[in-house]
Amino acid sequence: MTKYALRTAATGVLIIFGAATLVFFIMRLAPGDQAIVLLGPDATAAEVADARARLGLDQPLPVQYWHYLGQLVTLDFGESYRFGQPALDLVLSRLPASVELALAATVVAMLGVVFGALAGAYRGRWIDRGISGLALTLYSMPPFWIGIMLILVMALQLRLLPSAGVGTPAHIVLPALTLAAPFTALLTRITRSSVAETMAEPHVRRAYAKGLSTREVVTGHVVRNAATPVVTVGALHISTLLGGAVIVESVFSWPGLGSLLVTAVSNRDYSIVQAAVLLIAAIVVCCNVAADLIAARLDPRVRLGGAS
Amino acid sequence: MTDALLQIEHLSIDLPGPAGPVRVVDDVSFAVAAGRTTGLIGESGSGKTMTATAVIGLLPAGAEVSGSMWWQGEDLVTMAEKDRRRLRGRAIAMIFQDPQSALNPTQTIGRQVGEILRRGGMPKQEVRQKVIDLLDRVGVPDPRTRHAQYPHQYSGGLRQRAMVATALAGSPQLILADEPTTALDVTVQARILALLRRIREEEGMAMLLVSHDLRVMAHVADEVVVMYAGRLCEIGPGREVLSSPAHPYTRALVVSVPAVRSRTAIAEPLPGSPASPADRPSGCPFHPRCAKARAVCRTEVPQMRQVAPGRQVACHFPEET
Repeated sequence: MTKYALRTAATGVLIIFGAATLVFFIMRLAPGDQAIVLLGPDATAAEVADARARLGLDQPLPVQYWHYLGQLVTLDFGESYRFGQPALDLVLSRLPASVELALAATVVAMLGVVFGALAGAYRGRWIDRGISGLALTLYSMPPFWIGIMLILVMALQLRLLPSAGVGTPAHIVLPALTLAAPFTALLTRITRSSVAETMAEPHVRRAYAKGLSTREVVTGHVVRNAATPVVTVGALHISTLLGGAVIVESVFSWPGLGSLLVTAVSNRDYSIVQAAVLLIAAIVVCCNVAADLIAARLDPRVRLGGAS
Repeated sequence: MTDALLQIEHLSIDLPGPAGPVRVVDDVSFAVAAGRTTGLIGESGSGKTMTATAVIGLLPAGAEVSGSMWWQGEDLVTMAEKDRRRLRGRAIAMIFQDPQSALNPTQTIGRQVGEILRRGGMPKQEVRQKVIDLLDRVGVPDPRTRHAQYPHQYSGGLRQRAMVATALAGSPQLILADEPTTALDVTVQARILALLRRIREEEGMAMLLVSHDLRVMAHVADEVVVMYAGRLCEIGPGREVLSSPAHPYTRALVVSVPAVRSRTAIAEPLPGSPASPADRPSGCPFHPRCAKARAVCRTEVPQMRQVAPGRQVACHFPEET
C-alpha cells in the first residue's frame, strides 16, 4: 500500500508538472502578449518594448521557462499585472465559491446514482425505459441552455429564485442545478450499466437463491460491486466541475475559478492562468487519487492485491 | 414413491427465443426421495439445469412453466413468489457450478455463509460461531481466521466448500447441486464429492445433483434421471442404470467414458452432436444419433414405461436389463 501511494504521488507530480509546462508554452504560442493587451492598440513600438522588458517577456523562451519553473517550486506565480495582487492569492480567493458550487451540484447529481441503480436493477422494465430516456434527454441538452431556461422560468417567470450573483443560499440553486444536469445524467447512465452488468453475475443469482428479495439483493450484493466505475467517473467529473464550470459560472455571474480563468486568458494574464491551471491540475490529480483509494476500499481484490 | 420429498409431474418449460418460445423441458416427471441423492444426467441442452433452476424458482425472465412440482403438499409452480422466496435458501438450497464467480468478491466468506442466519435475526456472536462451525464441518482449515477472508484468498476447492457451507446454513431439506465439481481440478472433484456425500448422510437431507459427468453420478447418485433434448430417457437406481443401461442414449453415454484402468476397452465417442431443444428431431429426439433407430423412432415419441422394478425407459426398443 505504501509503495502504491508513493507511485501514485509520483505520477501526480508528473501530471501537474506536465500541465504546468503545457500551459506555459501554449500561452506563449498564442498571438499577442501582456504588453500589447496592457498598452492597447495605440501604443508605440518603443512603449511595447519597454513594457516587455519590464515584464521579462523580452528574454528567450527557455530563460523564461527556467524562471517559471523556479516560480512553480516556490509556488510564487508573481503578481497579476491587471489586479496588482499575487496571482495565487487571487486564484485561491476564487476557489471557495467554485468548491461550494461543485459540492452543491454533486449532491444533486447523487440522485443519478439512485436512479441509475433502479434502472439497472429493473433493466428493460418501464422504470428503466423512463429513467434512461430522461437521462439521455438531460445529457444531450447543453448546460448553458439549461441555465438560460432555468433563469427564464424560475427567476423571470415564477420569480422564485435569484438569477445571478451570490449572497443568499437561494443564489446557488440555479447554477447548481444547471451544473448538476449533465452530471446527474452521466451518473445515471454509468450506474445503470454497471448495476445491470453486476446483476448478471452468477453471485447475484446465488444471492437470489438464498431467498433475498430484489431490493435486498441490490443493496446487499450489487451496489458495492457496481460502484467502482461510478466512483472513478464521478471523481473525474467533480474535478472538472471545480475548475471548468466556465460557462455556467459566466451565465450566473458566479465568482468562481472558471470565470476568473476565462477573463485571465483573454487578458493574457499569464500569472493567473498559470496559477489557476496548476491548481486545477492538482485538484484533478487529488480527485483521481481519492477515487483510486475509494475503489480499493470497495473492492478487497484491489486492496489486498489478490491475483484473481 | 410415497416418501418423495419433491414430486415433479409433467413439467414443461418454455423459454423465449428469437424465433418464438423454445420448449427446453418437455413433459418431465420424476421424484426426489427424502434422504437420497437423485442424479440428473444429460449433455448440454438436455434441460437438466433448467429443471433444477425451476425447482428453486430462478428461471430467466419470460420463462413459461407448466405441470406441477409438489413440495410438502404444495405446488411450487403455482405458489406465490413471496412463499417461494421463503423456501429458497432455507428448505431448498442451491450449490452453483463455478465457485469462482458464484461468491460475491467484495464480501468476506463468513458474511456470505452467515447471511441467511443474520436475516433470520440470529445475534451477531451466535452467527459468527455458527459460521465457524459450518466452515469447520465442510473442511475449511483454520475457520477462525479464514471466515474473515475474501473469496479471492480461497483456492477453487475451498471456495466450493464455502459454497456448500452457505447452502447448509439454512438447514435445507433439499440441496440442488448444479455441476458442483465441473469447474474444479480432478483431484479436488473427488474430495468435494466425498464432502457432499458425507454432508448428505449426516444431515439426512435430499440432494438433486445435476451433472454431465457419469463418474460423478456413479459416486454419489442413488437414483438417476437421464435427459436428452429436454425429454426424459431413463429413470432408475444409479448402479443399475449405469451398469446395464436400458436406453441406447444412456448406453452411449456410458461407453463414451474412457475407463482409466483398462487399455483394452476403448471409449466409443457418441456420434453427432446433442439435439437442440429449439430444433428437436421428430419422434424420439435421439433417433438421428441412435444406431438402433427404425422407422417408428422417427415418427412416434416413445413414452416412459416400466421395464423392470423401479426402472422406466422411454424407448421403442429398450435394451434387455
